[in-house]
Amino acid sequence: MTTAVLESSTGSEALWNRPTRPGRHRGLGPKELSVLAYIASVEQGGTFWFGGYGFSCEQPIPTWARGLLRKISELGDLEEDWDSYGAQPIDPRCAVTAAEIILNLMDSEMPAPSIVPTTGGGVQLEWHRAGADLEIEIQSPTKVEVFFEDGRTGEEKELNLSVNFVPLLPLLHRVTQAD
Amino acid sequence: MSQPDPDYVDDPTIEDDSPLWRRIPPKHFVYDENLQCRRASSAAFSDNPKDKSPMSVVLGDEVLAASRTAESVLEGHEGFGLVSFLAGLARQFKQGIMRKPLDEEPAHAEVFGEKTRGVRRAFAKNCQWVIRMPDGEQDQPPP
Repeated sequence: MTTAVLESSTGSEALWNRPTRPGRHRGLGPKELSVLAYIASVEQGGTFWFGGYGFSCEQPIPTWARGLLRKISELGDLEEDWDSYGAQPIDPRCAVTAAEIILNLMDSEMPAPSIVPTTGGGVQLEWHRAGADLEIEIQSPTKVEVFFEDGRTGEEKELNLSVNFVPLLPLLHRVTQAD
Repeated sequence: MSQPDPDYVDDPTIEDDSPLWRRIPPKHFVYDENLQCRRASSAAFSDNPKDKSPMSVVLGDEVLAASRTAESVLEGHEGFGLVSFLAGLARQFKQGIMRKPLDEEPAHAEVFGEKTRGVRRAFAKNCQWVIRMPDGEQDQPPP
């Protein structure tokens, strides 16, 4: 689901970089920008901010995903040391990857994860239900650590993913099962 | 780098049943449907990502011995909670504890050792509330 597009990346008010803290959030590519447009669509076509970036987009996102993407977008407001122990601001590319996982792998029937910022600037998606634990830690767009534990069977699984997130599907289905 | 300084030595005067307190920011609370409670995320238990120093804690016994309250540890940190886990639990997971008093927190200590996911999850699942964060949306399962 990557059909939303930016209205424009140059020459309009649709997208711009807001003056921001030096050294933050550099180097976003077109892929990241297009997915951030999804996040922007939480605001139904209005202007949306993530960290130092403003976005506008055309297409709405599924209703079930809006609250989740809004929570991801809120992470863009976290300043350095937000945990009082030296935590870093959230890397927008990690936010984008979290949004991609939600939009591409989840559906309206799946339970919502807790969306947790990590101290290193990443994003963690967590499910603790149906007797199982699933933690997906996005450390960078190409470094995703997954931990799964099934309390019913004792099965434990650890995955390190980079590009292909399809191996997450059976784990998502497992935490979707009824209690 | 979880043990940046070779001078880090586990302090035997910090006994296994000593409570170690750590502040938990609001964004690090998750609802655990399996446990039917709100608890800290494993993401809350990591070394300092900025200066790479080991994970900060406060020695709860020393706070109380100085006639301070647990609330004093949260001063200036509105919305935060405070959790406690035992030094013995940390040692079970190959961590050491060393006093590192600070001007602003004389009872400050550091928990050094590699913070694998297993270590972080153990802290998250076994810590107890000292001060719960104010009620909020994370009291409920995610919508």
